[in-house]
Amino acid sequence: MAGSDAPSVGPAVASVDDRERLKLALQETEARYRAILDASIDAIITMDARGVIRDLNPAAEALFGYPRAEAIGKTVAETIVPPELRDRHRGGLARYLASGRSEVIGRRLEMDAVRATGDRFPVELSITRLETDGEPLFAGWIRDLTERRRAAEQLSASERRLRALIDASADGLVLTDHRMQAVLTNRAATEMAPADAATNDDSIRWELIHTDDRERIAQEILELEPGGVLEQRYRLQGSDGRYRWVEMRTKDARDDPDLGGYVASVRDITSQVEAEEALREAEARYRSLVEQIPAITFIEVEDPTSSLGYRTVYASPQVEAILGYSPAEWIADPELWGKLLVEEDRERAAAENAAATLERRAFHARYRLRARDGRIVWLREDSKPLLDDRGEVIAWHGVVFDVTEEEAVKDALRRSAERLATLHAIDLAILSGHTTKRLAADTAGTIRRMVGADRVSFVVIDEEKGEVRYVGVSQVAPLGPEEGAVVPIVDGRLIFSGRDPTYIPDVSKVPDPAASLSAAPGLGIRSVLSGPLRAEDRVIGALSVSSTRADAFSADDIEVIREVADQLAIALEQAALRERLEQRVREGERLIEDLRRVDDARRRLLSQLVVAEEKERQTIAEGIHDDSIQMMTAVGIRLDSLRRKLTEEGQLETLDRIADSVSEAISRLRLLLFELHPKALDHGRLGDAIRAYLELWGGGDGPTYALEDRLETTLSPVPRTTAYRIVQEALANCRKHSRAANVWIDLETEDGGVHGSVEDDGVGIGDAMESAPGHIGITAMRDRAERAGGWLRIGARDGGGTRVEFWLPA
Amino acid sequence: MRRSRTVLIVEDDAEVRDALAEMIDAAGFEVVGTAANGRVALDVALATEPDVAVLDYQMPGTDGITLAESMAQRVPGMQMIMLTAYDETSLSLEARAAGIFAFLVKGSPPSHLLMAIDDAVRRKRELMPEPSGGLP
Repeated sequence: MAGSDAPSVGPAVASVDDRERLKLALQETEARYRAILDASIDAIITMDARGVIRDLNPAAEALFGYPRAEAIGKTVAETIVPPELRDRHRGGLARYLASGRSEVIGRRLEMDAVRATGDRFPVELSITRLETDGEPLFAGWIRDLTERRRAAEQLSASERRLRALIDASADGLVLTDHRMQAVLTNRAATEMAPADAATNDDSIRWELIHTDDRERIAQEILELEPGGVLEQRYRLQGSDGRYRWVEMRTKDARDDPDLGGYVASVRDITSQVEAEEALREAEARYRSLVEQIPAITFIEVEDPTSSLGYRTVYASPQVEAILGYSPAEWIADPELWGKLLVEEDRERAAAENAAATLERRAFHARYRLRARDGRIVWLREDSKPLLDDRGEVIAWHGVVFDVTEEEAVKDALRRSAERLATLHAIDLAILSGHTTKRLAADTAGTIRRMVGADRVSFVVIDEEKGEVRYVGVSQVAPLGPEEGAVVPIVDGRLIFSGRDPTYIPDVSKVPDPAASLSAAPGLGIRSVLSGPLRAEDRVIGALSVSSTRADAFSADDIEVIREVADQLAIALEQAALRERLEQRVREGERLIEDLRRVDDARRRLLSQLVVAEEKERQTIAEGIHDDSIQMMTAVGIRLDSLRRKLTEEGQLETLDRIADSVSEAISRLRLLLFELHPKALDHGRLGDAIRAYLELWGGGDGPTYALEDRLETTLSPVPRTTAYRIVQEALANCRKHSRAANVWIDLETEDGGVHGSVEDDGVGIGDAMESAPGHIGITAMRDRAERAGGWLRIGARDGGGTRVEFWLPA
Repeated sequence: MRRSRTVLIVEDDAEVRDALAEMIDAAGFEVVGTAANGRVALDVALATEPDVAVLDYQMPGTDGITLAESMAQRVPGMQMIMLTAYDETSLSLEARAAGIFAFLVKGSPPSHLLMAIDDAVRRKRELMPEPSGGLP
């Protein structure tokens, strides 16, 4: 009976077999369904109207972590519904049961569920109501969305990253469909060309492109073929209204299934364009600069076929201005430089060339090239090698300057220095005091060599005698009068009158030459240059240079002659001056000699005077001695003899009185003798003589005398005598007028003579003393002193009284 | 026999010379010679070897002091007295330096001269004692 398809009987009676068969069939069906359920990957949970789990499949077990046996009987709410949703779940269920309406049944929902561990996870849920008799049953299919979520999240993240990436791009990126409607734009693109607020469509905003560029851009894009790439530059108007330069790269990707349209990237190249513009401008300026500086710039490369080893590949336009050959000609002919180079400079330039090439260093040289028009041009070249990474020369580039003027200046300086040296030599000769003759001889030769003359002559004019003397001549051949020659001035017109040098480039062409010139052509002279030698306003001579060539002298030479002539004129004057000076000096010396002789004579005369004076005194003294004193002495002696013979008182008395008188007389005579001529004066000691005097007059009522004799030497007779007489006079005055209590006499050696003073503390001199009558003495004293070559002063003494001071040469 | 005190007078003035000779003689001295100048004086002095010589200073030719110097050398022991009109200290010092025994000034009392001569003789005798005894 099992398996047989017996029809169901009816409700009345069902056999046990039928019930068994049914049960089996049911069990089978259940098992089948069970199998399906068990096999299902999705979790299936059956729930009753109370919300209690009635069944769950293995997938559910696995998913939620509840073993079947444990789960059955628990509520859905307490097991798999997250806590915060439980009320809503229960409420929903209740609502359905009450109203038959549900938000969840028959729908796919996504929500969180909770595992047995408490972990939450996202699920997709669909609930159906099961058709059963009796109580409602619900089945729920639950799918774990974790993976799906993760994948979705990853995809989303990936998308976001991609988005961020394209938005991070500074370049604008645009993807359009095949109709050029924007499908995708990055932020940069949007900023560059924001969507038109008005239209709000995604079409390309052509109007933002500059009018001038628009047509071209559109045209080019339209001509794109699928797969083709286009690069364009145009101006795009920004949101601020200003135009910016952009560079757009467009790819026609219409055939690309993934893109299906155009892909464009747009870069703002404004700064780049500006930089390019600036660069172009700079280049242009540089070029114009280079082409304007007065120098030639060039570039050369190695060329073994050229004899020089190099070939010009670029020469700036100035080469034509400076040398007369165009850049093209230079490039065309590598040998050109060598052809134009002046022979003299070849060796030097070649040597520098070789050295620079070898050492791969900068090349510096000066050389001359012959320009197209035949001019010689001095050039200064500085060139450098251009090396590659390996240090090999790629090319030479250099600058060449026209230094012709500079060289001319240098040359002029050289010659100027030469000239200065010559003038200096002349100056030295002047300073050394050379005679005119010697000077002329020395300089004539130098000047001749300096100006390249064949003859130089230096003449001095003697107007009084009407002659011209040749004081200096230097010549390579007999071309004129020799040195020492004297030539009469025949012709009043001298070629060397006036202030400036005269230059006759060709004597044979002068129509009416002066006499001094007429002989010149006959001797072979063609050009003559003469400079006058002037002293103040007179022409005192001339310096002439001449040559057998015509036009032999330059403007420079004229200047030289002018300068030298001036110097020589000075020298001449100086020589003459010196000679006059020397003469004067000699005269002066003779004068001095004469004066000296006169002075000597005067001195001798004075000595003689003094000596004579003293001699006279002495004679008188001797007279007194010999006559008067001797006589009186004899008388005295005889009186004494007589006295012895007398006895009578009266007679004796008389005799005594006579004897006294005689004695007195002798004393007075002795005094006179002394006054006239003290013996001590003869014997050399001034001090002794004065002492003798003081002895004579000292004592008694007179003043107290004090003598300080500090004389170190013996004086010669004249000063000794003069000094004594002066002191004698002073002391006499003292005695007679001063009424002094003390007199001081002082003698000392000073300045090679005797310095003496006589001071008294008496009444003093008074101003009237000099001219007071009877005081001839003082004048006489001064007179004596000055006659002897000394001096005498009389004045008041400090502290009252008189001071007589004198000095006499020894 | 007592030797006489011999005196030589050297004086160029005849009056003074004679007066002196008389006075000196009257005073007891023996005037063994007179001279009017230095040369003669020296000769006489050498010849007579007087005890004392009275010299004037101021004389023609040699002055008294120079004469005194040579006489002192040539006639040792003879004393010299200077009689001069020149009353000057320096002269007197010079005289002393020359060896002159006394310096007298003309005009001073003649007795001074006589006393000086006396002193001079005594001095001379002291310096050069007489030889005792008589003739050989």
